[in-house]
Amino acid sequence: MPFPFRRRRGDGRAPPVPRSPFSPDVTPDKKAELLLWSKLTDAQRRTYWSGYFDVTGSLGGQYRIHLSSTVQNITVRREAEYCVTVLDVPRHDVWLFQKVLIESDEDRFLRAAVRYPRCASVYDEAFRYM
Amino acid sequence: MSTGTIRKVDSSGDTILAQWDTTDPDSVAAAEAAFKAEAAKGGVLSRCDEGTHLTGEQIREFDPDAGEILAFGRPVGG
Repeated sequence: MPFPFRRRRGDGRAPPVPRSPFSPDVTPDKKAELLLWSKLTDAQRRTYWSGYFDVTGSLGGQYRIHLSSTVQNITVRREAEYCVTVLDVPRHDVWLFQKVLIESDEDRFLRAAVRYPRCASVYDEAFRYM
Repeated sequence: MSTGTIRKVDSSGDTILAQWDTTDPDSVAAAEAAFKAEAAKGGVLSRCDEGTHLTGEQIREFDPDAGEILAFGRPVGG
């Protein structure tokens, strides 16, 4: 199901679990989504269906990971956008990677990520409601 | 007694690289070898125990007491 339709699931429920590991709907991205969900905190799960979750870095930085993209999708409130990824994995694994890296080694994240000055973007719309 | 899993995040979603049981030295040695192989590639290895929502803790040395270790590739800025 395309991403925007997921926004209707605002009740904190987990992603639907496939009936069987041999079911054809167990795609790599579905596996990755279930793994990501299993590692989110309750607070992160609450905003997941709204298309983002917030993480606190190991050095104390506050970041928002937007789930509409895997590129330039990490923002610091109205200051900067960051892009860091890991190659050849489903998008949900990229978001899990970003979360784990920021939460466990923010210094390495800052060294590896490319920082972009904050400019008007689709994410500004989300910040209006913060 | 404790058991653990090294889960490699890859193009298939994830693959179990190794599973160990602390009562079985061979399985621990195999898991440690898998851990070192991933660490040598410069990837991110995070202790992220199964069934909890604990913040991941990056580890440089294999810890048999870890319930689950997630192995990612090397971070790439874009």
